[in-house]
Amino acid sequence: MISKLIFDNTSLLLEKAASGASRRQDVIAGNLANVNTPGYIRRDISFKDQLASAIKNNATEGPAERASITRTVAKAFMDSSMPLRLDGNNVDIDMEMATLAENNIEYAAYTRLLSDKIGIMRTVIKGR
Amino acid sequence: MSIFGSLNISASGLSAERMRMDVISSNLANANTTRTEEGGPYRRQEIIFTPFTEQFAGAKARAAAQAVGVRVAGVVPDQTPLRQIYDPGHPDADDNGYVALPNVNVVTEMVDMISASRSYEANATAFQTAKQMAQKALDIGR
Repeated sequence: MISKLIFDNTSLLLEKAASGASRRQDVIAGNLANVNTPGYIRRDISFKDQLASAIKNNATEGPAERASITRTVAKAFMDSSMPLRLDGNNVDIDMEMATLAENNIEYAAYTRLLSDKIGIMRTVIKGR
Repeated sequence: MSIFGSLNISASGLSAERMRMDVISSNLANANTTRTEEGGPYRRQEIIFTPFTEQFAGAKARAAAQAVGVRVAGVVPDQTPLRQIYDPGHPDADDNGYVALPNVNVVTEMVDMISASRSYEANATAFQTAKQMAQKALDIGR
């Protein structure tokens, strides 16, 4: 019963989101390190769309939704949508920096929500 | 990848850009060097970057879309022709009075230097961000 309060679908969702954002940080760091490497194509991780559809496809919060969320896999892919420069590299440093900052804030949001959830437990236990 | 994977990748970027700065500095310092140890004028050095796919061993690392660092594949001399200046009075002039000067274009080197500096800053910011994220993770439930 207690485990249902703490380890519910929201916690699982936040954990998956945080781990996706963490992998995305790695990939963005790789893109920035290779901004001057000839022929390098930008990589990215997609996980938000998968998590959003896992929630959307399940009307109620329950074991079906939990299974859907558990099944989502963050996907790494090569992003060829950006134009190539002369040296075959398609990493746009400004866009990459913006994505870096945005991902950082999102990760902070996920961890903050997880902390707040544990904080609620603590308030309930303490009674004040 | 462990949490230090991202730090290692950014560190590889920092060190590669720093090496690029060394090469640029060397080119700028020797822009007018007509006499080297091997004889002949200084040739512009060029640095070659390549993604560091061996950083994480195993079949998974060789999959195409992975987060990879960068490494320096080598520093090679630039094969574009040397500049020939007519100056018979120069001690290193050849029989026809031509001096071969290094194929270093100062403007190109300055632009490369700005690019290296900006990339270095970007990698330093990525490093800071990864550190912040790890610290935020440690603060969960605090």
